[in-house]
Amino acid sequence: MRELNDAELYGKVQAKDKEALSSLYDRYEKLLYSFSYRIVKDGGLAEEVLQEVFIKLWKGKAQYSEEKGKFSSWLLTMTRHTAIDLLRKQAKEPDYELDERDALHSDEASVEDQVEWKERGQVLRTAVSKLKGEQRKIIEMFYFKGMTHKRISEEFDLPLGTVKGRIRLALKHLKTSLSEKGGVSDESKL
Amino acid sequence: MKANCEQLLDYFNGTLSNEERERFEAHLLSCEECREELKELEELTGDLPYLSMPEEPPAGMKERVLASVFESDTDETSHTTNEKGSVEQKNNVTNLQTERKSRQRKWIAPTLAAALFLSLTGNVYTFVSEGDGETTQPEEISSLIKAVQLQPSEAEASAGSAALMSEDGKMNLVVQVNDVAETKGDQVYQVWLLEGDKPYRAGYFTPNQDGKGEVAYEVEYEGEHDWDAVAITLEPDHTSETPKGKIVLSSGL
Ligand SMILES: [Zn+2]
Repeated sequence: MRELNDAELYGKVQAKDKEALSSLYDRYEKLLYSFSYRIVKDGGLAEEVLQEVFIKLWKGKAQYSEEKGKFSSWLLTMTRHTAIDLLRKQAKEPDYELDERDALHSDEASVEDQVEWKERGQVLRTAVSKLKGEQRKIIEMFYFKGMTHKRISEEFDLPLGTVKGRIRLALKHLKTSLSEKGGVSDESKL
Repeated sequence: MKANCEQLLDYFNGTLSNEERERFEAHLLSCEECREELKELEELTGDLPYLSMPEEPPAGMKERVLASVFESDTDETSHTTNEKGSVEQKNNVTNLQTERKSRQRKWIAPTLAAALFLSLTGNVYTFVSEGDGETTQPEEISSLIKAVQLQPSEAEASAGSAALMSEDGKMNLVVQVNDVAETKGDQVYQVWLLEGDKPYRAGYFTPNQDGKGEVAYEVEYEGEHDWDAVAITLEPDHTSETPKGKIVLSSGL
C-alpha cells in the first residue's frame, strides 16, 4: 500500500481521523520541534508550540488548501507564527541573542537521519557565516524572533521606511551566497 | 494606501491583530506590490527553518501532545469563553520545563558589538563579558588570536577595537568603532591590515547616526601573512586599493 501524502493525510485529519493525525505528527515531529526550539530556545515552550500547532490542525482552526503551496511550507509557517506568538506572550524582552550555531561548520550536532535537512542546514550555515553581523542580526530579529517592523526600526536605528529594504537585502545576500554554493536550495523543492 | 503597505512585515510575521490582518488581506487583493513582496519574502525565507539544528524531542512528547489534542475536543463545550481556545492547554505543559537548559546556550549580549563577537565565536564570550557566571562553551568553534584597542589619530574622540579570530581554519577580522564622524556621499571607513607597510583591504563600513560602526571580514589573502597592524581610513568610496584618506584609528597587532 502506498503511503499517503501530506495533503491526503491532512484531508483525513479534517475528517477527524486520529490515525492520520498521528502519522502527520510522526512525519513532522522532529522538524517542527527543532524549528520551534530554534525560535523559543526552551524545550518546554517548544513542546507547547507543537501542542498548539496540532490542536489548530485537529480543530481546523488553521486551514490548508493546495493553492497555499506545499503543505510542509504552510505547516512551518503556522509553526513559526505559533512560536512567535508564544514568545510574545512570555513578554520576554527581545535581546541581542544570536544563535552562534547558525554559523557552525561542524556537523557535530546534526548526525541525523534526515539527510536532506542536514545537507541543507550545512549549506545554510556556511552561507550565514558569510553574512555581516548586522545582516545576521536583522534576519534573526525579523524571522526567528518575529520582531515588529517598528521594533526593528528602533533596534537598528533605521527609519521605518528603510526596514523592509534592509531585510530584503540581508535575505538576498543569503540567497546569493547559497546559490554560489551550487544550490541545495532549489525553491521548487520547498 | 501607504500605511497599509507598511504592515507587510508584521503580516508576514503573524503579529497583526485579527482585525488588522483582515484589513491587510483585503489590501493584498488590490495591491500587487505587496502581493509580490510577500511572495518574495516567502521564497527568500523558505529554507530558513532548516537552519535549525536537529533537537531531540523530550521523551513522551507525542503521547502528551496527542492526548491534549484529542482532549481539546471534549473541552470545547466547557471552554467557549477562552479567546484562543488554548489557555486550558497550558496547564498540561507548565511542569515540562525540562532540564534541557544545559543544551541551550543563551546569553544576553550587552552591546551590539558583543553580539557581533558572539555571532562569530563561542569562546570569545569570556573576553567580551567576563564573570557573570557563564562558563566557556564546551566546543571551541573558533578562537581568538588577538584583540586590540584601536587608538585614534590626532585629537579625535573616536575609539574602537579589533579582533582577529580563527574559525574553522579561516581568519576573521572583527572591527567595531564608536564616535567616528559621519560619512558623506559615497564615503566609507575602510579597514586595512598592514604587513610591513603594505596595506591589504579588510572590510569597510559606514557608521550609524550615533557614530557606531562595525564590520566582520573574512581574511582570505593567499600565502602566509604576519600582520603588523590594523588601521582604519576614511575613503572617498569603497573601491580604494590603497589608502587615500588619513588614518582615523589604528593599532599594532
Ligand atoms: Zn500594499
